[in-house]
Amino acid sequence: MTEFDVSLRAVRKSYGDVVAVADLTLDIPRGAFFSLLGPSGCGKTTTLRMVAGFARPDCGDVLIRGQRVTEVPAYRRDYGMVFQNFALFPHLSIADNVAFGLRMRRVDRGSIKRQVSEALGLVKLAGFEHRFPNQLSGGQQQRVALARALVLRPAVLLLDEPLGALDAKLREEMQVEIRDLQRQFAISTIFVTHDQDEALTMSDAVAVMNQGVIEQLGTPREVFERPRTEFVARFMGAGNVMEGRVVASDGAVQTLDLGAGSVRVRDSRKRSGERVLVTVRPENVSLAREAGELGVRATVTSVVYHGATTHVHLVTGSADTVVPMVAHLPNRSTSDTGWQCGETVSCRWNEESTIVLADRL
Amino acid sequence: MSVLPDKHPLDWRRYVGEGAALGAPLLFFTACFLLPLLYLFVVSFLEPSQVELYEKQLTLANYSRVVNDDFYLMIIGRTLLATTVVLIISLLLAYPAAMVIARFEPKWRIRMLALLLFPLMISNVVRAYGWMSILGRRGIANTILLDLGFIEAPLSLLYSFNAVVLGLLTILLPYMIISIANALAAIDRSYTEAAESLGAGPFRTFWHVTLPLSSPGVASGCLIVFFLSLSAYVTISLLGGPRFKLLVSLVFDTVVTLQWPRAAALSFILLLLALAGGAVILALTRPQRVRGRRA
Repeated sequence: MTEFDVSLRAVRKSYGDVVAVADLTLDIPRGAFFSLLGPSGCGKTTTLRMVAGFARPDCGDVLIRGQRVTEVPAYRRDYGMVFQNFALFPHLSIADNVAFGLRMRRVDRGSIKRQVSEALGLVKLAGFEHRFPNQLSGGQQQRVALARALVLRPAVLLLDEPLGALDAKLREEMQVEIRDLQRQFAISTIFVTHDQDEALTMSDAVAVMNQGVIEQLGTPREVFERPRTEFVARFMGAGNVMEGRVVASDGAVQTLDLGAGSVRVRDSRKRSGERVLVTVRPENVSLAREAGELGVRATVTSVVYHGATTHVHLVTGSADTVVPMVAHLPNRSTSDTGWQCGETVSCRWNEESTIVLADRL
Repeated sequence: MSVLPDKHPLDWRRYVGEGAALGAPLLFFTACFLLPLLYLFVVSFLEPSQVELYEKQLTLANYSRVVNDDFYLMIIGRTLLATTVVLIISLLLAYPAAMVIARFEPKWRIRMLALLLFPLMISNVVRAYGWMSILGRRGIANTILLDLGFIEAPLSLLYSFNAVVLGLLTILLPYMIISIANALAAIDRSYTEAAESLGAGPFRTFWHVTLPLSSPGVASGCLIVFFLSLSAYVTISLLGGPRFKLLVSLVFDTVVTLQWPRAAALSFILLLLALAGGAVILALTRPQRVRGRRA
């Protein structure tokens, strides 16, 4: 028994001159819900298709349960897959759709019948055996697709943007349902998505991909709160990326000069005089009218009410480099919400909220 | 689900517009096809006449004559055999070709399908004479075979089952290929991938997924080929000649000998064969299953 259900060893895949996946190495621990997150064209789908056997890596190896399957055709690999459009066979009943894989494995009839009704029961579709896919709602089709993949008890479950075709409310329900099923089966899962919320709420681990490489791999919390690069920071919605220089170091705390003011950072491992790229999550920024010793001077450009929060958009920086910033301020009854466009304010955050990015300057 | 977009029930202008758009062709179709067909149907039950088109006297003789005459039955059997053979050969030749064409990207696929349409621009008469000059007693085929010493006397290739089937195939094969290729190209890749992910190898993926999902194209291709081969007159009369007549040739012969009521009856037997054949094709291909209905 190996501890990894899926391993990728330096896999590379190019389409013409475009490198879709560049020397990617990855291990999916047994039972983990693993998300590949990134914008379209980042290589996440190609990575999944290499695990599935629909794309052949130019070099490198794919392993499922420790077995090298790089040259093994898709139909001999041990996985179940849910497609973006569900890909339920329209000419087969729900029962026949779920039974398809069992029939291909030449399971006997009685056993097929039992396993199919068991699987449909698990996804709360008992009694739907004789319907056809076009008679089902999107959410129900999604569940059939899950039942069809899980009934084979595969080593891995591959999910290719399975929530993309559903509306927002249903999507949230299905997130919970997929996660529950995944825990119930304790099945290693690779989930491909471009939606950071989905990745954060569902995953044990997230790999943020960009241009064929993994920019950061970590728990949802790590990726969200401690982005390693500017790309990850921006993709996770922390757009406040600023350049600065370490001007003072006092043990664990360093002071950074950001041009339009200074901020502190904790444990940056940067020495005095070093140039750094930093970011701060919008919800950690607070605004003050009076200038202080710390804080970044900025001008309010727009104020947008979002219910629980108010998003204040600002610009900072010097005359030649304008840096846009955004602060998400909580709307409590006591909050000061009277921010005016054109007003000059001081943006502040505590030293723990300053994140030093690894990008080279 | 409704095919037409929702509209306000009192929006009469749209009803008028849609009525006019549908009405003109409907009127034309009724006046120039349905009414004459009805007239023909009545005529098929009337007594023949020496001086008029028919006697105003009802009879079943035109039909019973055909059903009780071995010659007619032989011709009907031969017609069904020839069209079925054309259908099966064109299906077997077209499907693999369509699979190859369907794999090309749309730009090239359209060009290849357009190329297939090219021979259809040449008149059936010209093509039938082309085959005659190849298959005739002193035709190209016989000349070559004689010159090479494979045969000692010219073969009688023309005016035969084979000549008719060959002639029909060259005309009808493109319809079958185009119809199937379009259906195959419309099948989303994720269906075959889903089958593979569930453990189906290439053959079983084809048999359980690709083939059933292509059934609308197979059905429409088969219907077109079957109907056109039943009613193709020029090819059959030129390549079948006096020796190999099919039902459609008999209709023509009966008309030119002015036996109107019997010609009408034969026409309806031909129509009945077309409808029955069409029903068999639909029952075998079951195109409605891709929409998730039971056959």
